[in-house]
Amino acid sequence: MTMDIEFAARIFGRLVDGLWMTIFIVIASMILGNLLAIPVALARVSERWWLRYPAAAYILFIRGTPLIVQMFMIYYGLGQFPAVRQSFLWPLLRDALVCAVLALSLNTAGYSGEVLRGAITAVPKGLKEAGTALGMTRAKVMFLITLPLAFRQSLPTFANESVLLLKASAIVFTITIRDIMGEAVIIRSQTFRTLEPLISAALLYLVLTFLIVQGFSLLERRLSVHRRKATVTELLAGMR
Amino acid sequence: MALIGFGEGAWGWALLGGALVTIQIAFASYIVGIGLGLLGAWGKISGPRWVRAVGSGYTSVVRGVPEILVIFLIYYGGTSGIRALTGLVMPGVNIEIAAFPAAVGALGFIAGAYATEIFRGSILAIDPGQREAGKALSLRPYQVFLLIVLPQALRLAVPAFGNLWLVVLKDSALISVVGIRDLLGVGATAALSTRQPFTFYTTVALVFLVISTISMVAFHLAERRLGRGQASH
Repeated sequence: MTMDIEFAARIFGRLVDGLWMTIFIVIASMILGNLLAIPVALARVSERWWLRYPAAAYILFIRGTPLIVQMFMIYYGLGQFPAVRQSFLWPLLRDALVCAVLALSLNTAGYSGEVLRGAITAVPKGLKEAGTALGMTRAKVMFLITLPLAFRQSLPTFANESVLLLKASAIVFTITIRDIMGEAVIIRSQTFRTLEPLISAALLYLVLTFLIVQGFSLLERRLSVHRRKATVTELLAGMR
Repeated sequence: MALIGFGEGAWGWALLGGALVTIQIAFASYIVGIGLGLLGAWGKISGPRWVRAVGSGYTSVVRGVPEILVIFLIYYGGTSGIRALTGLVMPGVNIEIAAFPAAVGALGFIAGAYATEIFRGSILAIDPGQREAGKALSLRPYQVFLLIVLPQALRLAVPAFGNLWLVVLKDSALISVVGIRDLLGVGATAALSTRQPFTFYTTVALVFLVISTISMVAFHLAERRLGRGQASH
């Protein structure tokens, strides 16, 4: 049960190969998932029941079932249907990486969609009315006033969601992808050593978590400049 | 569809058995997590400095590392560690750690980190005046904690613990990766042997959905009941 530091250093290079895969998957799913979250949230707050109910059902399904099951439904499941296997999409859906990003994005869309829904309903009515009074269309009010404010409102939650996404991404090794966890599992099965690959992988994930948290707090500070008092240097810079 | 039923050659009973294993593992892990959470919160709030350091290390590592990795570490690393220890004390004795306790230990360890933060937050949210009032009534410190602080903190923590239960339930599906025949484990076997993966994974998902929906309703009712006599908000 002792750690062999030299051995850990030797396998570190292989884990870093997996690091790029993890980073790619997380960033791709973060972008796709949060873009998908916008229509989900808009449908969820819609006045039309045939938009609102499907969105609510989607969010319930995503949040009420394990991500790993959702991913298996896509990667292993879709091939069950001859229609899918014969469609032009099959070369894509057969690919583990595509399925992994798809599953993580659809999952993020459900969680972020619910967060965004809360933030949209929290935007003060007066601001929207002000937009209408200026002759904006409903779409303009939504995209120029409500959504930007809702996005900033939900930034702290998004930081949390992103850490959860990073952690969730570690399950993609179960569908053959060689991310950090995937490399660690392969090294474990090749060398029969458990602690070195897994603890080194854990360190990499901790660093990534730290970077995400720091990145979001930076973004949050930049996007809410008006809320804090300017420092003396900033005031001087503004005067120049 | 006939494969989902309960007749001959159908997987209904096997899936139901798997669901039972899932619920047992999730529930046991939840209880372990709550126990660890109480311990962790106590340590982080009023322990000596090194206990506080261990507490913060515990919560920040678990919350920053993937659940599946922690499960692998405890499930494989922990069992080989215990074997190494017993090998030192009793050479030649080979202990097999059963899968169930190892799984519960791993999931409970993860849940404990989140429970620690929930307890800590809700205990710190109790007005210090309450504690002082207890002291003024010459209650002992443990009495103040058990009779005054904890009951109020628990009420504050109910929504968060409802959430944690759903997280533990969903995380429990990860345990099938190390070979336990829980709901997803059985579903995966069925998917493989019947060559109907979509049918079975969707069924597994729907069973999870039913369990989490029932839990949500139950927690909502509990919240309402515990909120009696509170100003509505």
